[in-house]
Amino acid sequence: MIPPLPRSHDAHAAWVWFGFHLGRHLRRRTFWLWMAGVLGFLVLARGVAHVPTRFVAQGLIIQLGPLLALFFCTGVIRQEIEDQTLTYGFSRPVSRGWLYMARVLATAAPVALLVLPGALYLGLETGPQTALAYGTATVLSLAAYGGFFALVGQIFRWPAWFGLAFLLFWDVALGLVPGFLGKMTLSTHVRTVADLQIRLSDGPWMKFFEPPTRLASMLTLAVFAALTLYAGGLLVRRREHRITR
Amino acid sequence: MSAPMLEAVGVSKLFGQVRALNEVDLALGAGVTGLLGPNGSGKSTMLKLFSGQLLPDAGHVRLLGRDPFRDAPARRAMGLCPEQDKFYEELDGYRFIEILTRLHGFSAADARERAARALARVGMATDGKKPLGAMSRGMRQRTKIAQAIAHDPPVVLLDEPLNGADPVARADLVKLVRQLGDEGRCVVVSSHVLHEVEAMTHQVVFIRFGRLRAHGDVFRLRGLLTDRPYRIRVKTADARALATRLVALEHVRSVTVQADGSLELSTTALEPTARATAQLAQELGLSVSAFSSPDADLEALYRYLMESAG
Repeated sequence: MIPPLPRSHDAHAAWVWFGFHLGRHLRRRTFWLWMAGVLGFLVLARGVAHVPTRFVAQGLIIQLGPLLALFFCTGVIRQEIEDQTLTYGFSRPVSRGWLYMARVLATAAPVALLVLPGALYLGLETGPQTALAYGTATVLSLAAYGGFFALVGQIFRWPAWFGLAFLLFWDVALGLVPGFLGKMTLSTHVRTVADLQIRLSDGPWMKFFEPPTRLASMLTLAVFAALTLYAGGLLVRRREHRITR
Repeated sequence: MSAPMLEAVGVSKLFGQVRALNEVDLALGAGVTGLLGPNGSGKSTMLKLFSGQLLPDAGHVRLLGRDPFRDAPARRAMGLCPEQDKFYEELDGYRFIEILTRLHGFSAADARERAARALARVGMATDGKKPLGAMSRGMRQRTKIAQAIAHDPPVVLLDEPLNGADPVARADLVKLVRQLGDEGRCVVVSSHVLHEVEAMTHQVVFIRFGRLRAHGDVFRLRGLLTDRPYRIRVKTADARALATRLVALEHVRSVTVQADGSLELSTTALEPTARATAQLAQELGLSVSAFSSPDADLEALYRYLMESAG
């Protein structure tokens, strides 16, 4: 007879797993190199070249954030399979879906640490309202892109290429198309939350562009993040992960 | 009879076109069981199925009556020492086991205490403080076993647990495995090193080409191989006199006097022949200086089973 575990066990174990993997990410040299890179970008853009805050914020939140999410999150489970360490977590009495979610969030959190301080700083240059908008957009954006790329990492053989194609050809290109199609992209919603929409004056075709409301975009991003995380968790729970020597 | 702690019913597992396991039925209870077979025979696949790492393509696997793949809490009853020598290298032994033990629902303090106890049990109380990346292969192996037993599971699965361990550590680990079995746990040890498995247990499971070849006590299994008579070697002062009497025994098929003066007989029944040999020697007033059966051990059984498997 196996004694029952408390109802909160999965969540508690996932929290432990999140803390453990977050610590591992923060100790990695790659993280600190990225941190130096992001700081360098901000110093160059604002301090040296005096690029307007709005454009730097776009570069950081709309372009760099998703790219970093792609770089970090596609390998969430794949990396542990390659390292052959997956067995240690997956042979424990914890739902593998919860462990997966903890792992994705522990991977997305360092990306947030790379982007969020810069976004807040840039927002504060304009005012606290903008800082709040940039901060919210960054967090929701990274959750949505992180969850999506982690899911992509489980489905596709070459997830980084797929993710790059998604960012360039779907998210960026389609994001420029006015109306309904534009709303199908994550970047449109991130722009709306951060109030970094492409202005009507940016191109004559943009007169047809009707951005979604901020609340709708926030909800869209949050629901998308939750759905992709859940779908990834479901996939992990149902699928075998074969570790071969 | 009590319910098995581990059970496989009609289990088949395919990897692409390769059938790793083929309709395996197996039920294991408390005590140590050696899982034996050549490379690629399906031993590790069997352990991965029992630990819920893999899902059978046909049949089902039960861990204390529950499905270890789909039923996550069922895995609380199991400790797994995986085959691969891979770790979160930057951690020390204590932290590594503490983190994994916390996933069983223990508090940080409890998990630390359990990690210390488990590491002490495998002789790593001092070396466990080293980063895993700086440990020798034997230390890493012992740490891997410690993480499998830290939460005190009733079922312990050890995949090649003696790999890389030095002779002293091997002897200690053999003792530990026997202790775990004596404590009433179901311990399954997959290994290539037959004499070490023999030192741990007489209960064995033979797998070849994904099929279960034999399961049970080594000596009972050996006795079932009626087409393979036992060889017995006896060293005594008057081998010819003893040979004349032995050849008349019911189970004895042949008796040969060797160049060194010892006797070699072939028999279908080991125990009765051994008893009769002692009695006859006594009647003849002969002292027996050596008595052995070179093919009554696990190694011989393994060889015969693998040969007969084709």
